[in-house]
Amino acid sequence: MTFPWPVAWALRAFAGLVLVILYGPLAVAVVLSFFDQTGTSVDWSSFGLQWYAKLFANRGIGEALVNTFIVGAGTVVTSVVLGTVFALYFQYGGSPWRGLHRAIIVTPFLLPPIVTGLSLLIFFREVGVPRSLLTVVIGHTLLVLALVYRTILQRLQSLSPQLIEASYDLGATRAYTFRRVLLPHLASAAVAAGVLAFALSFDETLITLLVTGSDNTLPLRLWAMVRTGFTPDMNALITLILAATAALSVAVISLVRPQP
Amino acid sequence: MQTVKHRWKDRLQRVLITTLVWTPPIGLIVLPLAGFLAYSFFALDNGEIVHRFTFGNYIRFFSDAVFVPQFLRTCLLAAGVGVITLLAAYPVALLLWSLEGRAKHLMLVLFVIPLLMSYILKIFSIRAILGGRGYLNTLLMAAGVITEPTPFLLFNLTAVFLTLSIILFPFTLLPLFVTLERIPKALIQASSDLGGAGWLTFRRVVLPLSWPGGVIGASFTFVLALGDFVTPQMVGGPTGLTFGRIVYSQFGLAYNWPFGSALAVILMAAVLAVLALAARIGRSQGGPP
Amino acid sequence: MGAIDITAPAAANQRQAPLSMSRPLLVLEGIEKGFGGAQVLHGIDLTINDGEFLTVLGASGSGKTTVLRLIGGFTEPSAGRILFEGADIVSVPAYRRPVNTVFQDYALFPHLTVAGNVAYGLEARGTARDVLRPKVAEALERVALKGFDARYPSQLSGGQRQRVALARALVLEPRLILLDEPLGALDAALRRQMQVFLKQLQREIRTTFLLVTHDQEEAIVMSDRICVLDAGRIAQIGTPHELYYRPASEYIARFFGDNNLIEGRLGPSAAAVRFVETAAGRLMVSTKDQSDVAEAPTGTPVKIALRPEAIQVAPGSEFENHLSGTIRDVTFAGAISQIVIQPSGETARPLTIKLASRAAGLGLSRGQPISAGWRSADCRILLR
Ligand SMILES: Nc1ncnc2c1ncn2[C@@H]1O[C@H](COP(=O)(O)OP(=O)(O)O)[C@@H](O)[C@H]1O
Ligand SMILES: [Mg+2]
Repeated sequence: MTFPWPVAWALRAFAGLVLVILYGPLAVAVVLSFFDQTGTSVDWSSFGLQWYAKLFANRGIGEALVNTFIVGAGTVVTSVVLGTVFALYFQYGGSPWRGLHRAIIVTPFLLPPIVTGLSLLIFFREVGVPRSLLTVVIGHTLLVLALVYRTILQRLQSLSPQLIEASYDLGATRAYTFRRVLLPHLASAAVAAGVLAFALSFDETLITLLVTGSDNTLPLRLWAMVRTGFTPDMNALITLILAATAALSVAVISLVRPQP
Repeated sequence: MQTVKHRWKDRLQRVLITTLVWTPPIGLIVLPLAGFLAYSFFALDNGEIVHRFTFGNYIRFFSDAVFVPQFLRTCLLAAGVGVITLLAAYPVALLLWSLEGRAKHLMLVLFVIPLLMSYILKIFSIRAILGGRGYLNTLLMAAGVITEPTPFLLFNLTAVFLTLSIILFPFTLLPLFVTLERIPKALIQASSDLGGAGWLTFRRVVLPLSWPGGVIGASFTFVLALGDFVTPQMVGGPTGLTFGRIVYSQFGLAYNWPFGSALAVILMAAVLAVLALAARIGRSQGGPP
Repeated sequence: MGAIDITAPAAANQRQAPLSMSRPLLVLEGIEKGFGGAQVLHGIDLTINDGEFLTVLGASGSGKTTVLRLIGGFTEPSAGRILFEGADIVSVPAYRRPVNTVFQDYALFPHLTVAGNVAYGLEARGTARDVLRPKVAEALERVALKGFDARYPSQLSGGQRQRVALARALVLEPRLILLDEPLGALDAALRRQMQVFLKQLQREIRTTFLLVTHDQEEAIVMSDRICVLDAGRIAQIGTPHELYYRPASEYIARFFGDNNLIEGRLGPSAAAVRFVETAAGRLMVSTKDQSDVAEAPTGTPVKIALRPEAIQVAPGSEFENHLSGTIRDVTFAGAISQIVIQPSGETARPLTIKLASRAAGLGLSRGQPISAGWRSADCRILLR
């Protein structure tokens, strides 16, 4: 659809304004990460990487980052494996209960994270599971599973059933068909879903706050830092994370885009 | 003989698969939710949780003068965030939709990146802008708009509202955009062929076909705004108390899990009602499934 | 280039007639198939002989694909048996049946190359690489796709994909190849080329082909025998010649082109003939191989099937049936000219005649009186 030019320009102007609001605070942080400041007065002569140096000296962050990667990896593996198995069950299990199964899996994604987090917190306490990074992985997996499952199921449903029949017809067993036809078909969707799962897990805060033990992930560490007061190395961190996020989202979007 | 053996193996396999596939969702989703529901009917005695059925928590919620108004105010706040993001998302989605090729892709990435950006750091950088000694106040003072820092900007519900709106904006935008993308180009052409002017096409075709997507996006945003407790804590200050914060405090300082569960159940009821409504609108209008 | 000589197998030995035509390879016995409430196949009895080219012909939705799916093992019959060389294979899974399918829209694996697709079945059987390679190359050569090994299906034309699907089945040397409307997606010219190619290929490799199509011309050109399916029932089985000239029912007569159908009632019978009273007068029809017609009671309502090319204009006395009328229409259609005549009987329906066209014209024009005739052996009585 093409809009008449005054409308098109009005839309562009408005979208530009929205972008300024979305990115403005981040941009300020990025600029300030290279300077010293006292209060709101910036010492423009102090340009340098001093805050980055300070950031890397901060051991707490390094540790939190490692934890975040552990949790992220755990979440990716469990959610992709479970998502694939559940999607296969939905598509080929022939169970009359598959709709209910899907509804249950999607629930944690629809509920506010506080509800998912609280119910897990109570459950772990009642069952006697100590809170740890493992419980965090469980929480994150439940949250991202809905998306991973949907992504994989959609890909699975785009597979022509004739291809599977063709495979059987050519003498391939179920296992062989799974390996040679289904898996290659699912691979890129599984990778995209995995990247998405990692990105969501990386930044998950609300559920993590509720189900973690003494281990901090990066968002929790940041939360603690922010609460104890402003330090300029936070700006450096914002800059780094923004850069990483941008790179990651470009990767995600080009993965999710259908291949020509 | 062979088929009998086969059947037996098949049945074993079925039982195994069924068990495998149902255990995680039941064990980790249904049971915890059921337990959480049960907790809302328990009571606290001398700091110990008593596993006995009582309506006490719900009675307390409805009889206490604090909770119901607080709940309604938070619902209103979250609804406000949903509405404002929807109003802002429409023009942006229309722009994205009208773009082609690389430009579209690039703009989409630009609007998605904030979604993936660290949540805490986003709030933090917004707070740095809004704060009493923050950049916005400094800027306004330098420009001569105000003479002294306005406290209006931080540590109140307005700040919570603004911050949530900025942070949750992409959640409203994306479903709306996806719905717009799904409108068959032929429909637009048909409307134009029938002599529908731009505005008419928009009002009669684009708007009716896309607003369910907007409603679904806005209701996602509503749900997330309603349950958030970190944003209000960071930018809300003492007057920016929200229902989510109250729930969370029951599991922290106040240490009353059963009451906290009851509050969360009420929260969940509100969420489910809104989602069901949105889904209905989406379905009846042929929006995203 | 796309210009591949797909008539190449013509060079092969054409004298190799199918072996032991009469030995049954696959037998369907009382097959019933329903989906939920809807009964799709009713009591199908069909024998496929070793080495023959059998076509299942039927309108869209008549159950052709379902028949193939039953044989391929993708669905089970509600009742009946499927015997392969005498052994019931209903409970044998698809991947262990000695049967391969060329699917309706080819079902090529999009993530595998042409060679990968053709090799798939051999790999699934664990064939060693050095055995596999020459087999794949040979199969591709057979379908004139030499040099296409590394292409992906998306880089091929419809006809090429179709041949990959064929090679993929051929390479496994199955006893029976099932083809589900294999030429349906091709344009008319390529279609005719492929019909010849498939037929010659089948003679050459001496494998049984079971082809499904809704195109009666295709069935006539390619098949040794045709089985016509009408709404899940077998309407007739026979050679193309039999179905064309000796249709068993009105349905078949209509299906195979443009038979004239003349309504009437059975009259007296004589040696190997029966008279039929029609609006155009009393007609004489041969009842050879039609004992049921010979024995049917006088007065039974019937139809006479009469091929348009069997009718002669200004016939001689060797034609037992004569009628006169006027020309209603003359249409020149290339090799053939079609003439519609209105018989002089009050209620008689128009008849269509097909004559070979001539450069000088046929000298027939609208409104002209005309006499026409045909032999009693060239028409047939249909009881149904
Ligand atoms: N899986 C199925 N479920 C329900 N009905 C089916 C199924 N497959 C085929 N049918 C029905 O069976 C009939 C015959 O189908 P099919 O064998 O595909 O016909 P053909 O190949 O001759 O066009 C159709 O009416 C079709 O709707
Ligand atoms: Mg079919």
